[in-house]
Amino acid sequence: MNASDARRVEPIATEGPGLPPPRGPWKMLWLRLRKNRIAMTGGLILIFLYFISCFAGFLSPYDFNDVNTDTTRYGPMLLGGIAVEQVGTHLVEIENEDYEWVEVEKPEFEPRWEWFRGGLTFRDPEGRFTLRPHVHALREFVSYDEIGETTYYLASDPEVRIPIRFLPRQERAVEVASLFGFFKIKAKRKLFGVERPAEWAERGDDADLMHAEVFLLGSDQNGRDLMTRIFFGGQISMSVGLLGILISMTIGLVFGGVAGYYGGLTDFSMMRLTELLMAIPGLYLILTLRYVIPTKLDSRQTYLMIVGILALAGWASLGRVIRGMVLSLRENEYTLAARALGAGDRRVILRHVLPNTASFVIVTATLYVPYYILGEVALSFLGLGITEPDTSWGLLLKDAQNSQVLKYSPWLILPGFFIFFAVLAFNFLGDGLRDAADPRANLSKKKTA
Amino acid sequence: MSRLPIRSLLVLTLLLVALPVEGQRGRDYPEPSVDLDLPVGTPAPAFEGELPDPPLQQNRTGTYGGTLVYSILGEVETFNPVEPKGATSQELRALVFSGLVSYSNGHWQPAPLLAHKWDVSEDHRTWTFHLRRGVRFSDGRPLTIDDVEFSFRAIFHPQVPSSIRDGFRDEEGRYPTMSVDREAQTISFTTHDVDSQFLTHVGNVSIVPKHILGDHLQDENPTILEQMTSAADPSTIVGCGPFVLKSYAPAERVVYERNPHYWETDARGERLPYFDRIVIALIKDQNLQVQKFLAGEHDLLDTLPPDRYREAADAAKGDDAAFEVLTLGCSLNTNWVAFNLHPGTNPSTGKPFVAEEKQHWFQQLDFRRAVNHAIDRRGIVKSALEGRGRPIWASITPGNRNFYCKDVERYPHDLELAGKLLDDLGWKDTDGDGFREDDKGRKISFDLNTNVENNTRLQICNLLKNDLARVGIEVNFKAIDFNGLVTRLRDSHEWDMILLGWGSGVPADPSNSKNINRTSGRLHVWYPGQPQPSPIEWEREVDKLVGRLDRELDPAVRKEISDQIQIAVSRHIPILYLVASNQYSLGKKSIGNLWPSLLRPSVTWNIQELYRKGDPGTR
Repeated sequence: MNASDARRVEPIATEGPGLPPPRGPWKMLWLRLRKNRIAMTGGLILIFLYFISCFAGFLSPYDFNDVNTDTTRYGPMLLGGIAVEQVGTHLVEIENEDYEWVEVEKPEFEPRWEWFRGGLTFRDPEGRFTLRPHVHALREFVSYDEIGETTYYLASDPEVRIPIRFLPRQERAVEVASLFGFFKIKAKRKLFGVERPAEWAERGDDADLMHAEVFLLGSDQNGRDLMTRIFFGGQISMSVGLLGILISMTIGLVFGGVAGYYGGLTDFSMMRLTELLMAIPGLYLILTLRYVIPTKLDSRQTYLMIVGILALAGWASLGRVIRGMVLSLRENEYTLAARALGAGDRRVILRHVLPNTASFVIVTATLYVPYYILGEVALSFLGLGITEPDTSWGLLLKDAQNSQVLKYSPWLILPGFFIFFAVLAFNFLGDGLRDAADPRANLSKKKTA
Repeated sequence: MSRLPIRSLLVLTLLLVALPVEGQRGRDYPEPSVDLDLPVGTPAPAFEGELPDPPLQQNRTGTYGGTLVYSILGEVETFNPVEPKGATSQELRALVFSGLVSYSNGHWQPAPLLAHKWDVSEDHRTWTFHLRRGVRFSDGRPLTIDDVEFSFRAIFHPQVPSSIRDGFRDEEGRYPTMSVDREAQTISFTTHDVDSQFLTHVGNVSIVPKHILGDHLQDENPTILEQMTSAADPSTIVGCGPFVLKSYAPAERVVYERNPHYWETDARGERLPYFDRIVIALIKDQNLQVQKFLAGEHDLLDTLPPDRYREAADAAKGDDAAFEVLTLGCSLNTNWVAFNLHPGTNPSTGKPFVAEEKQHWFQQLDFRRAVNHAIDRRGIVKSALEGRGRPIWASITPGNRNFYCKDVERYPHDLELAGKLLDDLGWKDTDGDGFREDDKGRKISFDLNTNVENNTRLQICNLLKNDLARVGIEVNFKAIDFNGLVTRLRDSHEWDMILLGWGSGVPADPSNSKNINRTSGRLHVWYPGQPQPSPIEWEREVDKLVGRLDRELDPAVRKEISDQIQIAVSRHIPILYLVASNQYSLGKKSIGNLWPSLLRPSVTWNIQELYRKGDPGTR
C-alpha cells in the first residue's frame, strides 16, 4: 500500500494505519537535502575538512612549527621526488674557515622533478617489495653558478630508503585531537612518522648531509612539513566562519526581531544604530585592535578576539534584513491570532515570528561562512591576522605570493586548494539548504532542477 | 611505484666534507672601457652654450639618443633639494641638481663636480672650494659663487628645518663659518673641530639658482621649502644637473629630458648626458618592480631582492637573454637583534621599561653570549636567504672594502657551549617544561618583535625562536607594523628583543653610522637617551672612539679606530649582528657604461654616462 492510494481513499486522514508518520519541518529539510547530490558532496567535503583539523595533531607526522633549516623546499613525496644532476663545475672565490679568500672548484647542480619516483615507495631498504610504505632519504647539495652564487638543493637519494613507522612513540605528550585549537587532548602517539636510522652514524661526515623526513605534501621555506601546517591551519580557517556567524547571527536575530516587531521609535533608533555600525571601516577597527590587544596573548587567541569583534561589527546588515522580514511577518494572520489569544511579545517573537525567518537564517549562515574564511585568508595574507609561527591557510598562502615560489616550489599553493574546496563546499551546501528549506518548492520540481 | 627507481647520482664525493662558512665579498666591477670608434649620434634636444673653465672630462665614450626607463620604489615627496624628504626624493635630486663635490660609487671616493678643486688648511679646519667658471643653469643663466653662497645660506638658515644641516653640526652644536671671495670665485668654510666627513656634507648641498629663489629666503618665515614641491610646474624647476624635469604624474612616472646646458664632457670632448630622456616609473611594491623588469618594460633594476635571484638568474641564462644579473657581493645592509638594556623607568607610569626579571637576564653578558652561541646563522642564511648571504658579527659587513674588520669576536653556533653558559649562571630547567628558570625560579621567557611587512625578517625571527628553544629559552615572537615598532624603539622603550636592519649610507663610512654606536645617538637602540657622559664604562670608551673617528683624517688610523669600535661592540654584544644578504642589480645588456656598485643607487649613480648600445634611432 502506498501513500497516494491512501490519500485518495481518505483525504482528511493525516494519521493512521498505513500512513507514514507525520514529518516535522527538520525531517522534511533533511529528506529534501539528501536528494541533492551536489549539496551532499559539499557536506562530505566539509566533514572531511573538519575531521582533519580536529585530529591534526594525530594525523600529521610533525608539530606545526618544527623548523629545520636543512630540509627547506622539498617537493611533495606523495607525488614524486627531486633528483639533482651535476651540470658543471666553476672556479669560485669563497672565504674559508680561517676567513681567508681562496679560489675553489665547486660543482653546479640542476634539480629535476620526477613524477612518482624518489618519493613514497613500497620497496624496503634491500629493494624487495613490501606493503610498508617507505620514503627516500634526503640529501643536501650546494650548487655554485658561474658567478659564484650558491643555491641549496635537496634531493632524494635513490639508494637509501627509510620505513614509515605507524603509531610511533613520541618523547613527550603531543596534541592528538582538539576542537579548533582548544580543549586539547594529549597523547604520546602519532599516526605515522619516520626515524633517522641509527646506522647512519657510521657514515661519518656524509650523514650530516642526509636527512630522514616524510613530507607527503612537501616542505616550506623553513623546512616544515606542509601537510602538518595545512592540517593545523584548518583549526583556524575552518573555525573562523562558524564562530563569526554564530555571534553575528545571534545578535542580528535579536536586534532585527525586536526592531521589526515593535516598530516606531524603537525601530527608528535601533536602525540608526546599525547604520552607524555599518559606517565603521573594518580595517581601521582591526588596526586599532592590534594595539589594544596585549602581546601576551598567543596569536590564536588574538585572532579569535578579532573575529569576535568583527562579527560584532558585521551583524548590522543581517539585523536590517531580519528586521524587514519581521516587519511583514508580524502582520500575518497567525501572528495576529497569537496576539489576539493573549500571547506576550516575547512569545510571539520567539515562537511565531523568528522561526519563520529560519530558512533565511540557515541559508545566510551557510553562505556567510565562506565570507569569514576568505576574510581570514585576506587578513593573514596582509599580516594582520594569524602571524608566524602559527598557521592558517591564509598565512600559508602568503608564502606563495611571489612568482619565484610559484615557479620553483609550486606545491606551496596547495593551501589555496583547501580554501577553494572549503568555500565551494559551503556554497554547495548553502544552495542545497536554501532549496530544501524553501516551502514553495516541491519535491518533484527539485528532482528536475 | 613498484619499479625500483634507478638514477645516477653524480659526484657525491665532492660533498663529503662539512660545509665551511662561505659567502661572497664585495665584487669590484671594472671601470667601463673607452671606445673612441663608437658612433656619436645626434643629441635631441641639442646642447647650447659654451663649456665651463676648466671643463670636467670623464673618461667615457657613448652614443647620443634614446630613452632610459627604470623604476624607483616609493613616491616623490618633493623636488626641492634644500630638504629632500624621503629616499625617493633624495635619489631623484641628483638628476636635476649638482653640488660642489660628488661621490663616485665606482671608485668609493669623492670627486670634483661644480668645484674643480678644493684646498684644506694645515690645521684641517678651513676648506676652500674653487668654483668652475662658465657653468650655466638649465635656463641658460650663469652659475656664480653667489648661487653657491645662497644655497649654503638656505641650508644654514635657522628657520629652514634641514637634515642636511645636521651633518655640519659638531658635538657642541656649532656650525662652520662661511666666507666668499667673489673675485676668485671661491667659498671657504671654517669648522670649529676637524671634521673627517666634511666633503660628504658639502656634497649633500645642491646648488640652487639665486635668481629664481632669491626672494624666498626671508629672515623670518622663509618660504624656500614651499618652492619646487611635487605640485610645482616642472618648467619652474631650474637646476644644474644633467637632466631637467619634464613631467610628473603622481604614483605613475617622472620624466626627465636632457639639460641642454649641462657641462660635463666625455673622452672625445662631447657633452654629457648621452640619453635624451629618462622615464622613471614610481612603483610601490618590490615584487611588481621585479616583475616589470623581467617583462622587459624597464632597462635597469637597482635592487633585486635575494629571494628573486633564482628566477632572474634563470631568465638571464643563455646568449639571447636581454639582460644580465649584476652580482655586487655582500650587501652593506645588516640584520640584527638587540636586547633592551634600558635600566630606566617610565616617568608617566613609574614602572620600569623592562621588567625586573628581564633586566636581570639581559644585563648578564654571559646570557647574551649564550644567546649568540645558540643562534645558527648558517641555518638562517641557508633557509631565509636561500644560501645567498653570509653570517656577520659586526655592523660593517665584508662588503665594505675599506672598513670590514675580521678580528671582531665571533660566536659560532654551539648549543653545548650556550647550554653550559646558562648552566653556569644557575639557570636550569627545574619544572621539566623544556624551558629554563633563572636563579630565582622565574621562567626565562620574553618577547621578540619585528615588522610584519618584511617576510625575510619574519622568517629569521621564527628561526631564532626555534634556536633559542633548543637551549631552553622561550621567545614569544610577535610581528607588528613598522611604525608601531619604531614607536616602541624610540619613544615607549617597552620591548624586550627586536629584530631589524640597518641600511648603509653613501659613503659607507663608520662616521655616518655614529648615531648607532654613540650613546647620545638617535639609533642607539639598546639604551637610548643615556645620561652624558655614559654611566657604562665600555660605552664611554666607544663614545670617545666615535669622537676620534670624526676628527681623524688619516685612513689607516680611521680604520684602526673603526676596528676598535667594532671589537668593543662585539665583546659586549648589546646588539647581535646576524646575517647580510648578497646584493644584486639587473641591467639590460644594451645599456653601455654600466658600472654597478654596492653603494646606492647601484646602477644609476653615473646616469649621465649611460647610453644605449647599437643604433639608438631604432628606439
